[in-house]
Amino acid sequence: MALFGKHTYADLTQLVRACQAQRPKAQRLFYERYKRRMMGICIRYAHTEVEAQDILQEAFIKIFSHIHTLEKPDSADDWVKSIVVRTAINYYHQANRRQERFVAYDQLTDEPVSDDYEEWLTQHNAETWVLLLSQLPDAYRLVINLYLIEGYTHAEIARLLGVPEATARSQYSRGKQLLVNLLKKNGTERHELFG
Amino acid sequence: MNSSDEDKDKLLSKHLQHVFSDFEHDPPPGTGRPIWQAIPRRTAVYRWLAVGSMVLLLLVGAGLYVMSPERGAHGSEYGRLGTHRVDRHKHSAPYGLRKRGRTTEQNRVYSGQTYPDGNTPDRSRLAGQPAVQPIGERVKFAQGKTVRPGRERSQPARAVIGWLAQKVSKRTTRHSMNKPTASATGPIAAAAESVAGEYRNVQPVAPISYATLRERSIQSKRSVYWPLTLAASATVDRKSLSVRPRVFFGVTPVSSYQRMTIVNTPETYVQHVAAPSAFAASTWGYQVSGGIEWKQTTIQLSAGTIRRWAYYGVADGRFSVTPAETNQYEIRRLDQPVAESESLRLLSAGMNQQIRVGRAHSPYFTRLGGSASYVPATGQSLAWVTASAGLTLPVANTYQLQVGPTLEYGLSRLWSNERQLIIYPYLVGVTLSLHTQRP
Repeated sequence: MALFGKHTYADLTQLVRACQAQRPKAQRLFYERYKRRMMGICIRYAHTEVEAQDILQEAFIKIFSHIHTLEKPDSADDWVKSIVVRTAINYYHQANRRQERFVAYDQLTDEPVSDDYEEWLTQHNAETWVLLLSQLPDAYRLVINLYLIEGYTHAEIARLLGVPEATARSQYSRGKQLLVNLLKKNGTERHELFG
Repeated sequence: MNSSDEDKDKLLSKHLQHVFSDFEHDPPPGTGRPIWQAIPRRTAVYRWLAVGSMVLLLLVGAGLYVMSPERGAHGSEYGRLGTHRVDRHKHSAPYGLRKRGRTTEQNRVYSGQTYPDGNTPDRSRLAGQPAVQPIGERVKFAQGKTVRPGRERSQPARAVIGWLAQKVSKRTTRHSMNKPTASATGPIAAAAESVAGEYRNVQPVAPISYATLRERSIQSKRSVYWPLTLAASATVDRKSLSVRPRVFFGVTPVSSYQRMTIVNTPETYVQHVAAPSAFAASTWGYQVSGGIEWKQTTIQLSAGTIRRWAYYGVADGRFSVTPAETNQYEIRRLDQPVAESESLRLLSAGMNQQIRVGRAHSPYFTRLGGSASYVPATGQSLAWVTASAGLTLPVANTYQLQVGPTLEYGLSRLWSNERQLIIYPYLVGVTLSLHTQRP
């Protein structure tokens, strides 16, 4: 209803301009606009939902603190996403958060998968993939997300993570192998994620 | 990495990108709270506007009150008046100004005088009691005029003092027909005050002249709100009140409702709204207002918040099929429960005309007028017709409390996002306001 309806800005540019003017209502609308999508990204990068929530909060604090530097409001979607991804990377790069899990070598053995690889992949929905990603060690999960989903190259990932490119490649290889193994173990069971 | 692995990576990447392209997840409730506490936010301008308007209104009201022409004229008049002029004009003087006139007069007449017996002035003299009188003059009391001017007492105390002084004065008058004494008022005052319990150490005061006492007694009647005096000065009182602006502040708990009609357009798909309440949940809130009342006209600014809590179901694409009767099935569309909690802030400015109900000093009144509201969140402007009724209750000498129901009907038509429902909002509330009045 119009009386109680939330104010809708004509376009994203107006909304961003209002956020740059630090208007509380616009900031709330901006948050409402992106929160679900960005939480989806955070969950991919996080080990638990609580960590995903922390990442989301940190990311939005950065976003609102630096939104005045956004010169092209039309590109706010990509800008917001890049900040969330970088925040997730920093979150797991902090020394006190490093909880690298040692993976037994036998878990990384390359086992043959189904001949119809593509069909086998499509048997799993997003929730299953998120559940499997959350079981990966932090470093592997970061690389898998950046390479397979975000589309970064190994060189870019190496720069983002501050590691040699060879290390990035190695982590990706191991992470992918572990992911496939986990996928085979889970079979086609559907898991409800996060309750 | 061989080409087979690259192909598998591409397939995996393509699949994951497709799966996560529109993947969303609801953050837990309360996720945003730390964000709002941490980020820089500009304080809403309208709050400062509201506060500024209130302060401005106060300043204007106070300025009008101080610089009122009537007040200034009387002030200068009292400066020029002597005892006799005050005597002559006291009946036509506005009620509220009489005390000031009396005080000025007393200061001019009695200041610098000393008691013949050398006593220092007691409390009764300081309260306005004439102190010096030549010994030997006749002492007379007007009937029942023993209440001291300028002093407020409780109703029972006034009644007791009046009754006692009347009795004593009759006896004293009879007694003093032959031999008036200078100390005749001493026992009277002492007895009266002792009954009231106000004065512990009442000293016998000097006798009071007939003329002065009568003048004092008339003033005394008015100072204790004698009904007869109020009726006599009704015209003057109303006139004086209508000239001087009065300031008021109020709070109104309100609830808003909406009446709706449907716009018939080719795109209309809502054919029947069986339960308007589902679209217009009742709301609760408050309005804080302040303003000036001048010549029965009220100009006010108000700010308020109205909050709506609504719980309803939104139908989605799911259906449930259940057997109803033999060979029949009932298809029911499922919905999802949705909870809403939204607030609406309103800034308003309005003008009302007050109409007294009944006789001149009837405590009942009605107000009719209009107001315009601004909704900062949506930038909307609304026009309202306002009507209120109420009861005026005196609070001390300088304030009035007004309480009564208020109704505001929205002239501005609102509509839903689809522009199919026309909404007529109205507010219902109970106003409680405190008004200044002449002391």
